[in-house]
Amino acid sequence: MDTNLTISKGIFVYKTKNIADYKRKDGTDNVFADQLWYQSFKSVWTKVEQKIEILNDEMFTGLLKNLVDSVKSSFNEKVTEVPTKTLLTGINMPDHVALFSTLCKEIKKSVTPHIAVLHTEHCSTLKNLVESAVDQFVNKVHSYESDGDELKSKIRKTYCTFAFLQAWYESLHGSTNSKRKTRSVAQPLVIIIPDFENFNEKSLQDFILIISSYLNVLPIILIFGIATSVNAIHRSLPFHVSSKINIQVFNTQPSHLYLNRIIESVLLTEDCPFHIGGKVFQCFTDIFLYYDLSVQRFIKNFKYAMLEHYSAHSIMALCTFSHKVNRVVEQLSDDDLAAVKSLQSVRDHIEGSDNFEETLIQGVQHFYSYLSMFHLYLKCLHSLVHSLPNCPLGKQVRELYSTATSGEITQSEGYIEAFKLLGFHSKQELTEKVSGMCLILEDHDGDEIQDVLAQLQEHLVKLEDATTEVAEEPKLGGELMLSEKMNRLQLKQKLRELTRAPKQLSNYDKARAALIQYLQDVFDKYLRHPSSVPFYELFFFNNLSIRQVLLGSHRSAIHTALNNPSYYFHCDCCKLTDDGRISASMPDISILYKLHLEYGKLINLYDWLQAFVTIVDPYIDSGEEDAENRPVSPEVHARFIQGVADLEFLGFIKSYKRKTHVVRLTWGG
Amino acid sequence: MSYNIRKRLKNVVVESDEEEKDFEESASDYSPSESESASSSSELENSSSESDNSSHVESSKKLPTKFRQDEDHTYIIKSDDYFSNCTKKKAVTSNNKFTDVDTSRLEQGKLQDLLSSYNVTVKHNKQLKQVAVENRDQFSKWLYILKEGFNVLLYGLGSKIKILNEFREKCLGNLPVLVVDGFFPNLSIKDIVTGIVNDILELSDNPTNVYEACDVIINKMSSRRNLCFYMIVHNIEGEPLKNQQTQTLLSKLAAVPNIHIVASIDHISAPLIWVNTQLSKFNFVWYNVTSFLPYLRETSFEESSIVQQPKALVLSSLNNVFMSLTSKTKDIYLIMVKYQLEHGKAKHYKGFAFKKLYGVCKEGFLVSTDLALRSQLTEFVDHEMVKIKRSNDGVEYLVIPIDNNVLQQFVDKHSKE
Amino acid sequence: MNSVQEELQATYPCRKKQIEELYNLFGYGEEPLVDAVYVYGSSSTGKTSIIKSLLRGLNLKFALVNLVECYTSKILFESILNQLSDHKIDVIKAQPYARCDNMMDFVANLRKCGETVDLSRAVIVLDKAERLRDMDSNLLPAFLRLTELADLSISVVFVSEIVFDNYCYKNEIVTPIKIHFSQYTKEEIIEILCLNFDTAREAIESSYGAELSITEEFYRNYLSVFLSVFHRACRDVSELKYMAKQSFVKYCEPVAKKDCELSDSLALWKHIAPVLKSSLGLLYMRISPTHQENSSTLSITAKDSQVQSLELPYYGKHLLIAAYLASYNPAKEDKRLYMKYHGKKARTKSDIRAKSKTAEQLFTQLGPKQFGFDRLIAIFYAILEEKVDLNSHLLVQISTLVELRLLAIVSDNSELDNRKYRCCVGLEYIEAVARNVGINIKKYLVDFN
Repeated sequence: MDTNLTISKGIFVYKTKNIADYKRKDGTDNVFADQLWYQSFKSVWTKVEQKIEILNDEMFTGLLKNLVDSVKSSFNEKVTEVPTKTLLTGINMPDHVALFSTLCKEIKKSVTPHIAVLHTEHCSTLKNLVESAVDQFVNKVHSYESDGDELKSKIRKTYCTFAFLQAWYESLHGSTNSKRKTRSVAQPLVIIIPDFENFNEKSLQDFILIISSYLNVLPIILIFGIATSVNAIHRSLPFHVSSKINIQVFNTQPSHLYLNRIIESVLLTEDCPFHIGGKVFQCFTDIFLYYDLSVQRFIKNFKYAMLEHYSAHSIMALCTFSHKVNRVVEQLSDDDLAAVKSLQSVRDHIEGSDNFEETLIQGVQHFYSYLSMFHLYLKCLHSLVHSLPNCPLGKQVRELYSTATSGEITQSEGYIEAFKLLGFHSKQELTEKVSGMCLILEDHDGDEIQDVLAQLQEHLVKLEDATTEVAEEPKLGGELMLSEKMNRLQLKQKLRELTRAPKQLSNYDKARAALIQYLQDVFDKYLRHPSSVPFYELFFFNNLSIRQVLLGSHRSAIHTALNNPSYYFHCDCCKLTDDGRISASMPDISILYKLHLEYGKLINLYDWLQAFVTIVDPYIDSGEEDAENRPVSPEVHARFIQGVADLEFLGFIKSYKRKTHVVRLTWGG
Repeated sequence: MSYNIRKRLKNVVVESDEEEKDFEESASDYSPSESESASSSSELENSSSESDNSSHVESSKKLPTKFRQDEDHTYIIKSDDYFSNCTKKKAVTSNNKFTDVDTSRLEQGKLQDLLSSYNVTVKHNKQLKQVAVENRDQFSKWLYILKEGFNVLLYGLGSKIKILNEFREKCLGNLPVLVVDGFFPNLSIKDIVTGIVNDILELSDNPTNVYEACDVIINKMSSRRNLCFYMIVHNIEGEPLKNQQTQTLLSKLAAVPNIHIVASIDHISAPLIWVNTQLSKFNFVWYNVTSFLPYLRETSFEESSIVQQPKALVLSSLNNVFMSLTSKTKDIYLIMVKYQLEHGKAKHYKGFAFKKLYGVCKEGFLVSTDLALRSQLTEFVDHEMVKIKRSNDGVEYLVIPIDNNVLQQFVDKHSKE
Repeated sequence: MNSVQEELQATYPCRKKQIEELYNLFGYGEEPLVDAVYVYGSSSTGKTSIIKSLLRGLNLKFALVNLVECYTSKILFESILNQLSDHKIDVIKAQPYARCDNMMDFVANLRKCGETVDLSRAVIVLDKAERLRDMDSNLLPAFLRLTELADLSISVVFVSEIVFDNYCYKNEIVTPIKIHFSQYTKEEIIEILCLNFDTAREAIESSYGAELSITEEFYRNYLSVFLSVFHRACRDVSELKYMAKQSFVKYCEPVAKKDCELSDSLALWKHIAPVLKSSLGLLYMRISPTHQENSSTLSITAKDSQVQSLELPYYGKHLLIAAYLASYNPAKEDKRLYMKYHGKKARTKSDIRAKSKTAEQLFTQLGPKQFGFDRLIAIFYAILEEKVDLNSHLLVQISTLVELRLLAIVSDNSELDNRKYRCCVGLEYIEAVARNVGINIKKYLVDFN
């Protein structure tokens, strides 16, 4: 079975035909490319991807505008130091690729085509750094773009020095006379270093010194992408170097704002039929906030959730855009239709009918309208509650979404709290908020929405007119008769009566209460939990076991396997009531592992072997011979040695200079 | 059920801290706590209908829809164990010598024989087979996922060589595959890249610089979208692959949509080799393929503490080769051996710096130029008498990969002459 | 003293002696040039600029090479030859004048060049000559005797910041003529900075309008005030020039606002003193404001620029805090700090002594100590409220923190077992981070407990 048993090579190549013989369809398309559900998945995902790209472009271009402008104007005055722009990018490094490629594009568009991007790989020595930078300018190879301009004749790397760069630049743009007071530099040379912290400090320092010595002949601008803070520059560059550069600091937006925009504009809209349920959404957000703050990771997790969802069953092909549903329903087989019928939500809410296909189409369309209303009203609710003190429902739309899809939002504590607070709002605040909500609703058509809008505006008008004055009415026995002598008990009683008497409500209070009630009704109607709508399983993915696949807990898997193998075997012989016990039927490596837990830092191999033997091959006949002096059977010995080698391979123990012991590397259970 | 566990936990924790014992029964301190699923138990009841939609919808596909584990097992460390233990000053062990036992050191070959005769899985044969079948069911899913830009990472106790080979044979039959044995000690990223450029892509242009070669591969694969190839990397955290440079290059390759990587990890601290950017480029999906198979092949290379190459063989082969060298070469080698014996016990002994050796040899008139010494060293490397390592600052260090005891015997023998 | 010298004296005051010496070496056309000259002095004392101006003024052919650029000696040789032969680098073919791999080739090509170009009074200037120590060891002796080797009358000038004795050489070499550019005294600095009076006046006019007219006397007073603060910290003339320019506008502010008179030096001092003191923290850092910020204020103080908020993920923050605690607490105290039931500890004399530790002995003031991976994880779990399982992403976070230079790896990077780390952030920063996640870090620090 094992064909690679040679010990001289580590790499093996398996190939059946030449590379030129591989045609288009050979293995590049997905194995399930012909399946209906895959086609739905592909169309939805392509749309999502496109929208994200467009959003990225928009966002980054806006963010980088300042930076690009300052790059353009760097050489407007005479400079004595190298102009350096630092972009504080944040630690979510995987997201920066898109940012820097947009930056390159923008600079190429509006400032200069001479850009060199230097990554950490290029900078192990000063030689590599200089050659790589000059090579990129002179040979016009841009690393972020895939379309490489065809090079006429490539200059060899050994000739790529700064002197050559100077000659090349002068041949393109004429020599710059440094005696002139102001000069407009046509096209400066821009050098971008996206990951500053990772860079080799020494070579960077020398590089900056070289650049500053060429300052009057070569207009070079440096752009650093710094993940932590400006402090990083001051830590890496000593005084004599940092006095040669002139730093300007630019910020990008924090990554959670970026995430919010992506979620609100792309993922949680009615445009994308696929939705992730509350638990999974919470899991993804947790991964984002707790582990890496990377939006790329979130999007990839989302894609994986889509993959899982669509591949669950062929009927998931129905999760597609509304204009494609009819075609999909036509192509479904009888089995598929039966499967749809057996969905929980269908069984609960839809009675049997003859033409199930029609019911299906109607149901799915109904679901789409539910979705669009859901999102719309979620946005409205957000506009009402996001600025409340203590944010009982959260500040972002995504938090509301998460609550709404995990349970009935209208029953949740946060919701009740929020509406209580709304009930205490002043007229102006409430009017503002409700007007905001009206603005959102105005953008959408639909009769129902217009109705709601009309109602809201009515309420607003009533609110405007209502006064906060309380109508004066004679209270029944309400005045305190202070002249009357009362004892404490009577006084207490009287006060109680007064408080119990219903507070006189002003008109404003009444109008406000009516408005709040109306709002609650509206939200009750539209923000129902998805499970109450039929066919929702086609559109919502809520399988939390996806977490295991995305966040590998590989150490705990090993741990469980070693401590409790019956978890994998489902056998009775290894079932343990107490994790401390060792059963002889467990695999060797488990036994050895559990035994080694009982030792301290150093483990004597002999003792360990004896303990192992006692468990695995106990001397049953407790006769005359002392068990310890019995020779160890070679088989058991071999098993012991292999087990120890395995544990060493896994990293639990390490060999020690005295060959009789091994060192234990982990602690705890 | 969760309440009982918590109760037991409390008792156990109090117990162990009161006694402040060593690691006796410390295994009982740990119990897997179903954290997430327990805390949201109420929601679990409510939404149990939607949690596993696959169970309602019968799966008519080959794809496995059920996930094996319903509970999240978690590995939460009890810090108290560490702190109570770190006050122990000395490790007290018995002085019994492992060498007292007759068959104390087993040589590699003998070990293999013994183990093959013993069927390792005899105890749980049926269950292991079942586990293997479950693992194999996931193949089609892996293929599906690989095509969508993700890469697969396998983890879990037990050797994963078998399952990866099965995957390759069953599913990647007529596609170009590059298999990398991460546990093979003499591997380097250069070999991998050369393998790809020469054998898979059959390009004529093979730059010596690994970064340039990697760029060539990436350009080629990006421009020809109809090509794709697979890489199966056993133990991507293996000894020769765990440095930053290799992981950066591998991650760059993995980020290309038509290059698909299926890898496995074993070491418990393996993820330390990655940084966020690399992990993101790799875009791994983690699958648990616990198999309980012993790591026969992976440990056959390592310098394990108790499995080793027979000493006698090494010494005699060394002597033979040595005899065939010229006297000057002999002197050079002896200089290296003596230096290693003297300094080799230091903690971070990197080796004998090439420049130093050159200096010493020049002073002793053993070589006249840099090139001559290099050619001598190449000869040594061919005979596996010397290993050349390049450290992070680009300095070349020479290490003799032979046990110090053997070297001592060798020196004693030959310096008398 | 002829015109060249006079011109130089005017441009570079306070360097009379050195200019004279240099002129004596190079100025007299009939005498042959000396072999080697070694010019040394602290940074920004005018060495390179004076030599360049002198040689230009004397119309001597010279080649100036900055040795920082020469990561291989090939570049050095080819650059010298290119400059001496006036070779223009062809942009398409990129060939230098001649390919030189080593000294031998260089000398040969130099001779060849000498046949076509008149190199009888050529000078080679090697700037940042201390880099020669890191290059091939034969370069220094060879350059010192270049005249002899090349059989041409070429002079080599070494410009460096260190004393010649610091060049380690094994064999005997020719000692060059040494010229020292001493550091400027306070008065000399004032003299030099006064040369910028015109630019300063222009700056004032552009900020405050033309009504404010300042005299040279006023400027000189300002400079002495300025130097009283800065002279202790910095003697580098270019740096002082820059800082003086920056602060001058602020200095004149009260006069512009008519708060006080030109001659009221006490009020001006009161106004400018805090600004100058805070600017001391910004020495050698040139941070200029972007368009959005107000360009007329020195808005970024030293503290602000250092403690900038860094968004770390939740577990990342806890890992960093755990790393800080591991670095700055001794391991013996862990048990007491993190374990719930650690038992009582008897008060010993060392405890009492420990309480009276002075500030210098506080652990947080001594540098960070290294700690092992296990200890980091143990402390991390001890301070974390809701436990999470030790999954792979946590481990990757640790490595990412190392990449961001917030932690440093001390042990061998290639070993996966038993890695040792050290924390690289300071107390104020960690306090801010800890406050963010609701941990009171002082509770866990031995120094404050």
